[in-house]
Amino acid sequence: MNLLKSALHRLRSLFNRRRFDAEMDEEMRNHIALQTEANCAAGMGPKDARDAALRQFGHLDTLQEVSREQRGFVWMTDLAKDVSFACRILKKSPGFALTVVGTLAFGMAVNTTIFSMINVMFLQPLPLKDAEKLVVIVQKPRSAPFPQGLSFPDFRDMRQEMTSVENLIAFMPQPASVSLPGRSAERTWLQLVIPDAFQRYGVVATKGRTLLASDGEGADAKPVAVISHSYWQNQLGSAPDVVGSPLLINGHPFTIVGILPPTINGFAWGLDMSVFVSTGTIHLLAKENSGALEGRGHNLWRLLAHIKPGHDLRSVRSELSVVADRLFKAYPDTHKETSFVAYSETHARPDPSISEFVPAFAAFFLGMVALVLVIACANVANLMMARAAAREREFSLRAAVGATRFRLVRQLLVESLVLAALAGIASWYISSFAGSLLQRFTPQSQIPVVQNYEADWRNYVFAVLATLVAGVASGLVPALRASRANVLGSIRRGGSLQGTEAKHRLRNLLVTGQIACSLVVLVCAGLFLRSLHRAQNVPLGFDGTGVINLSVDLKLQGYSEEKARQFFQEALTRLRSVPDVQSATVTTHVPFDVFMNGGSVWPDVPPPTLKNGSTPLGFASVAPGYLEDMQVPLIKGRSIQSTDEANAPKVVVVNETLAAVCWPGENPIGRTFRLWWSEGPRFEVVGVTRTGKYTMLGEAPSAYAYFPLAQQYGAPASFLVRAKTSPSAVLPALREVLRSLDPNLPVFNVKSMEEHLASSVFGFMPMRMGATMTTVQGVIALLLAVLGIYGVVSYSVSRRTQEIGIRMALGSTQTGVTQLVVKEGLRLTIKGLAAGAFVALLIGAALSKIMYGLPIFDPLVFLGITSLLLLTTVVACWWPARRAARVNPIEALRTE
Amino acid sequence: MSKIELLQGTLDMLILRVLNAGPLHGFAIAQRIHVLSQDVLKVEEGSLYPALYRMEQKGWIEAEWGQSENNRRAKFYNLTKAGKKQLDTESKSWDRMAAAIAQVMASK
Repeated sequence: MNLLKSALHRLRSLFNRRRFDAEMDEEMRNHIALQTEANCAAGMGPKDARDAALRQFGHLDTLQEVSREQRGFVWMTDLAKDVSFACRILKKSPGFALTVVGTLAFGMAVNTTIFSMINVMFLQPLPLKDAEKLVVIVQKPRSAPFPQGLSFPDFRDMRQEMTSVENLIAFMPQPASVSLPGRSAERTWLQLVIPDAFQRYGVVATKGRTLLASDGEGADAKPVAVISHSYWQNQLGSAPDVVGSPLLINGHPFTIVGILPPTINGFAWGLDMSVFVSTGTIHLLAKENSGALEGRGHNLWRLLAHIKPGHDLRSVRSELSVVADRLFKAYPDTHKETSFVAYSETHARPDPSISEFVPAFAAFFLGMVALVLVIACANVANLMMARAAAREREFSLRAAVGATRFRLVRQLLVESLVLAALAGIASWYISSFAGSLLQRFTPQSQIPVVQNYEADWRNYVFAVLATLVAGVASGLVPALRASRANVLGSIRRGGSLQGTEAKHRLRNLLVTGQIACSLVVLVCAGLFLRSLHRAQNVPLGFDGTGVINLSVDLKLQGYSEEKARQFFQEALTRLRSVPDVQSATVTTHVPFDVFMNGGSVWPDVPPPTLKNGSTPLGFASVAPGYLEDMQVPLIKGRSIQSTDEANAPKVVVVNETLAAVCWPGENPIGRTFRLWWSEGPRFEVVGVTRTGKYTMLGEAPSAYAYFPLAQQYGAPASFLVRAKTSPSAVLPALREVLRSLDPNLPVFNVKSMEEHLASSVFGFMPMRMGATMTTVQGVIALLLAVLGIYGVVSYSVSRRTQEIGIRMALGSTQTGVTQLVVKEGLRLTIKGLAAGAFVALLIGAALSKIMYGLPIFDPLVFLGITSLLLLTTVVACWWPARRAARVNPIEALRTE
Repeated sequence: MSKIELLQGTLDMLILRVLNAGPLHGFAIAQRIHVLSQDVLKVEEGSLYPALYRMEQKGWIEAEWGQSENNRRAKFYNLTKAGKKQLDTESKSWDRMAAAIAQVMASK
């Protein structure tokens, strides 16, 4: 109780400071008056009496200090005084304040932006219950480049048997033709999911209800659907009474039972799903989905689960391998050479196929962020040290009047923190503006993607921490140094400006460190740019310049195979007759698409090296003339032609890799293989192409084949139209052709091939992202380094005015003086370069493992950056050098 | 008269004791102690006021503005219930300590 009372008392005295001080004043004066009277009564004269009373009382001010200390939160009032003093002093040197705030602000802004991006991509959990315990389970066949999903019966078994995870659910994104009755259908993405998943993951509908276990997950599932908030807003115009109304999905009537909250876009990160239905409804959606729920080989389903308390990722993985083993033994046909892997959910972004790189990627960029911040702080520290040296006299005075060292240090730290806080606010604004620029890095794919860069609490925490670190780091050392002032010496010398050797060393060390960091950042930027350049020059195995992609899904639209063939034939004829069109063709797989057609082939006379006599492959079904239109290099035989019709003998064009696997060392022309299974349709090889890139830039050479669309029909398919001059100019005409053939046919994924490659996560996007971010940081690092060198060199010039005067008097020329200054700057830079080069090599080595095509040591980059830094050093030294050269020797000798 | 150094806790106890008889202002407290100790103890103002503020903070005494004997405004300090308890405790332990010291000094 006493503690509370005393705390309250302290608080009160904090707020009523003035009144308490006045009271204390009055009380003491009263005491002195009484003592004076007593002294008079004892016989002293009035003046003596008062003097005696005052002397006895002691030093009034110190007494008041001590008394006040007993009262309130002295440290708080002192702090407030420090802050107001700091503000006043900063206002007096606006140039210094602006430079420091600007430096810190830019450094922090860039880093806050990059951090927010990393946050969204890698750190922010999904808006599901217990998101930090989420794991994603995928299947990795040895042959396929990507992880695949699992089959539904496998999922059922795992759900029953596995003890290290709980709430295991399966889901699958799927395109569908969705409409409200009476309106035209649109191609929409929906997610089939185990109906009780919503409850398990804490998702509650904002209107109506979510799917429930009672809706059934098997063939008996009820045709009910839940829609996403954005779908309700955009497609249904936020109509109020949507719950209970019908929805046509692929022509089948469903009933909308609920609307989801705006934060839920699906059960996989980044995918923007509009409609959610139960897994069991899959057989309603399309006839050929019959095996989706029962087939052991239909690896369609993505799995998500919580790690059970008491288990961790390792135990999940080991249990998975046990389960996998059992399944392999029980179903050898469908589980050949594949393994099950679990990833923590945040590591499976943006896609499980690149999940191994994700932590390294994130760590690398955070490291860059830290480096730039370090450079900024070093710069600011240097500036503050210079200023502190100039204020030496002030500190000595204050120390003489009784300020403790702690007090002085605190004052300087408060100044740094005030500057850092201002910089923090400025950088917040800059980074929110920059955040909108980041939208350009939204990875594009056929599936709509959610990108939400709004700041969440992690951003704020990071910004606050960065501010504090910047403030303390840049202010601490100058503060400690300044407070060690030599009192008498500096007052006598009138604020001596002779820095000690140690001070010089520290400043030089800081600048050297800055140069080293700048080198590292710039070299990384250079490496990224080089790798991007190289990646863009990697022979892809086709020519995409001036090509536009337009995709259609005829199966979804309800076309029969025959009708589809006619459609394509007619469309191609009309497209080719559009002026300015050089060529037009069709394919079911565009390189670097997310979805690829795949299967297995059984060559007629398999080599002994082929296990089970079959090998997997990827393929595309293409229109006649595709290889010529897309300039896929053909090295043997012929390409698909219009004579390869539906009733003609089945032919195929394979790539080198597939030929080498099926018929090593032989001429594949004339050989045959069976597709899908050992008794499947037989195709004869009529041509061989060079192996290109089909799914990822970094892929190993993979088996691939081209089938005639007429003989191996597939959907969806993409028109690839090459324009003679400008793709965008020709686009409206292309759309018109398709519209005239079928006005209700949705045309999607309309973009140029260049855009497709640049924004595909498997294409150039990671490198573009890396290159841009490191380049921006590199430029900032360079600017800061220039500022740093300039500051140090100009400071040392101003100190050495006397020395320069002597030199000139002794016969040194202006050029000689200039050279002296520049040499000093260069000396610092070279030391920094040496240190930085070593680190840059290490980082380059680490990076080359993650990023495709990143060379460990690229002499061009290293030499280029080194020369750049040396050049900037010379430029930065130029102004101080000029000033030094202009020194009038006589004046210089006179001063000081 | 030589100055005897008073420990902080002892000064507190003396102030409490003096205030037990009734409210006094700061100058009067110092005078009282001086008089009661027969001029032996002279409390320095530098120790008196910090002690008063400290004890007010701890809730042993409370202050009130009033009129002093020569019609000046003065701050009068009063003993609280907690202060009375504190006085009790301290004087008991002082007695014990004084007796113990006396015993040691009186031994042969």
